[in-house]
This record gives sequence, C-alpha cells and structure tokens, in this order.
Amino acid sequence: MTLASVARTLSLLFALAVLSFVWPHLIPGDWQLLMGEGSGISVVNTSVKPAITGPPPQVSSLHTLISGQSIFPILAHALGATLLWSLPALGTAFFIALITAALSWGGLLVRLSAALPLIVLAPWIYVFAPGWVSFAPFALLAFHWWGPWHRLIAERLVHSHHAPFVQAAQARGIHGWNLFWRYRWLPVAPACLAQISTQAGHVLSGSVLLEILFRRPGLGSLIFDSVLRRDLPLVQWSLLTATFLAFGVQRLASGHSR
Amino acid sequence: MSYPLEFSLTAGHDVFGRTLYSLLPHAALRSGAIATAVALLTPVIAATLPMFLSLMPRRARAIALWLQDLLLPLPSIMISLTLAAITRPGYGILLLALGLGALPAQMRYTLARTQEILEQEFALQSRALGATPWRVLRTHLLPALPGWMRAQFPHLFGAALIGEAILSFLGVGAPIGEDTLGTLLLQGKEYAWEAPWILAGTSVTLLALLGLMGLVRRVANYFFTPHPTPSAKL
Repeated sequence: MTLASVARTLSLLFALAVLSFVWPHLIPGDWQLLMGEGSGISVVNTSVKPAITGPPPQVSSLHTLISGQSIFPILAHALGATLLWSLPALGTAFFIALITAALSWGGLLVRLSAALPLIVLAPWIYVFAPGWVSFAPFALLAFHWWGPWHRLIAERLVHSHHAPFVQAAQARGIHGWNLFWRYRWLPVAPACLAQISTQAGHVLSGSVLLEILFRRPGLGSLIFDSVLRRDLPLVQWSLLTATFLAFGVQRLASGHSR
Repeated sequence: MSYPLEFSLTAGHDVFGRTLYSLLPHAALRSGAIATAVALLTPVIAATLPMFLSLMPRRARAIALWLQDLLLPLPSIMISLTLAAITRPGYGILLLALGLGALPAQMRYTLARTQEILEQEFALQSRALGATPWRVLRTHLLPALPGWMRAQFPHLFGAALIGEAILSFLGVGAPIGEDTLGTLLLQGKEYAWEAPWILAGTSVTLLALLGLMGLVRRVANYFFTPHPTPSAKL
C-alpha cells in the first residue's frame, strides 16, 4: 500500500466522520425539540421512556439521549453481536459457493437463491418456522448470498480453466485438488474477494433487515431502536460504525487485490 | 345456510376487508411507480457528473473518484433509517434513500463507460481536430445515455422495488396509510396465520414484477441489439 493510497483512505475516513456528524445538524431544530411531541415525527415507540427520577441524563454526542449512558460500550456490544452471527453465515455462504462452483453443483437451488429476495423469504420463515428463529437469520443470510457468490466464482473458474498455465500444469501431471487450489482458485481469489467486498454495504443491509425482523441483538436492532427513540447521537454513531465497517472491508479487499 | 361465493372474495381480503384483487394491483402500481422513478432518475444524475468530469482536468476527475469512494460503502437501509429519525416517512425520503443507495454504483459504471468512449478513435480524432469538450460531450457522450439507461433500467427497477419493500416493511418507507408491496408484506406477516393469502399474494406479486422485468430486459435486448443485415453478412 503506497503513501498516496493511505492518505486517500484517511481522507475518506475523515470525510465520512464529518459527514455523518454534520448532516443531521443541518436539519432545523435541536435534539431536545426533536424528542418532543411537537416534532411531527410519526414513528413513536411509547414503550421506551426516559426515567422520571434519578440524575438527569447527560446530553452530549458521546452519550445516549434516553439513558445518558456512554455510547461506545453499547456500540461495541452491538457490533460484536452482529459480527458474531453474520460473519460465520457469510463465511459459510462463501465456502459452500466455492465448493459448489468447483464441482458445478447447485442448479435450481442456485437460481432460487439468486432470484428470491430476502424480503420475500424472511417473513415466511419468521412466521411459519418459529422453532428456527435462533438459527433462521444465519441460514437465510447464508442462503441469500450463496447463489450470487456461486455464480461469481463459477464464472471466474471457467475463465481460469482455459488459462495456459492451467493447461501447462495439467500437462505436467498436476490434477485434482492440487490443480484446483493452486492453479485455478488462488489466481482468481483476489479478484473474487474484491468484487464481493464491493457488496459490503448490501451484505450489511441484509443482516440489518434480519436482525430487525428476528429481534436479534446487533447493530441493525440498535440503529432501529435508536431511530424509534429518536436518540440521534446513537443513530449517528451507529451509522458511522456501519459505514466504517463496510468501508474498511472494501478498502482491505481492494488493497489485497492489487 | 350457504351463501353464494363472490368472485371478488376468491383471493381473500386484507384486515380492513378490502379485496386483494383490487388491493394488490393498486399496491404494485404504487411500488412500480416509485421503482420506475428511481430507475429513470438515478442513471441521469449518475451520468451527468462523470460525463462532465471526464472532460475536465485530471485533478477534478480525482475528486470525482474520491466522491465515488465516499458514497459506495454507505448502506442504504441505514441511511433511510437515519433519515426517518429526523423526519417523517414519505415518498421524498424514500426516493432519496433508494437513489442514494443506487447512485454510487451507477456513477462507477458511467465513469467507466465514459472513459471507454473517450479512448475510442473517433473521440480521440475529434479532440485532435480541435473539438471543444462541450462538443465531444454533445456528439459522443450524450447519445450514449439512452442506451445506458435502457441497459440499467431493469436492474435498477428490481433493486428499487426490493428496496422499497424493505423500507416500507420496516415502517420507514412509504407514508403511513399508503398501500405498497412493503406495507402489504408487513400486514401479511402480522396476520400470516389468520390470513395467509395476504403474505402469499404480495410475495407472488413482488416476484412476478421482478420476473416481468427480467422478461422485459430480454425482449428489449432482442429488439435493440443490432442484428446483422443480409448485406452485412456478405
């Protein structure tokens, strides 16, 4: 990674931080007024109310508006919870996609996975498979990304199959797993990972939807709950964290692909 | 005592007693209109900036790429949720959120295509012959815009339709009281055991719209792809 690319990444991170903190303040009115009943906001969660007794909550951009707690432990907990279930799901999807693409399996299931949107599948599983609720987000996220990633990897592998160095390796008597791993997969892996990393925002959006629907703790539920409570500092920090996460994944993968 | 079965009730009705035969087309039209607006507006906005910037000096182009990198990782659902935190759900917010979600990828695509055209011989020759940047834009880049829009429309329409359904399903998309496919999915989820036809009907309608757009793309590809004439074959 050159100095110029490091400087570019840092300037982008700085701009993202400024953007996520400045733009909500461009809306007329302040946070206290936004919390009030005259704000005209129609999404209201009446079950969450600030405590009547006790010390007044601290009002700053580093504390939640409702309880006055520091934002960072809450964010760290939510981020950890999201990564804990979504990363294994995405890893499983990628691993299965790699295997099915290598063996040319899948067929109709790949088509279904690529064609069925998460918003159509998720409510059915939520309603009609209540026993699966703890496992369903994992399975749904893995199934949702398996199809597109299978197609992407399969397309790259087809190109690598006809590459001269693969044919030369075959002529030298290299076959099977060794041929696949060293000569077909490893040369195309960085490009595949870079292409997948550009979908980081979409992947995160999918996990947010599943967290909200299945009421699973994580970054998605945190941002949704803070929106319902109109806890703007928490909303800002959650958005910033999610954006940094997607941005970090994207930069990391694009740096490795060079 | 038995009652004669009315045709309007054969597909069931929603929780307000409205028949799905009238409700689903209405919701599909509204969702389709939102998706169409996003699919038409986004490529125009996404094309305009890279087209102008590609003709400008290298530094300005670097700024465009920087802006593109800035916008690409923003998760659209989170932007919409944040917008919903500071304003009320509405069509404006919905269009803004869906547009912001689709814009960066479109800008990247348009910039790449613009660079491709500008590196072709006819564009290089016209610049070498003294054509101004505005003339190059008018004669070589702008005529390509309808083709790009045609190529991107089905993809953008599908993405916007799904995005609208997700945001309305979460309660931060369409205004409250307006029926779209997302709000019907939410209603179907709430009453899935009592009235499964709402969820089934809405899911089928959403998938049918997406399938229809795939069909439109294939038909458009067939009609708009230039086929070789008999004389060209010779």
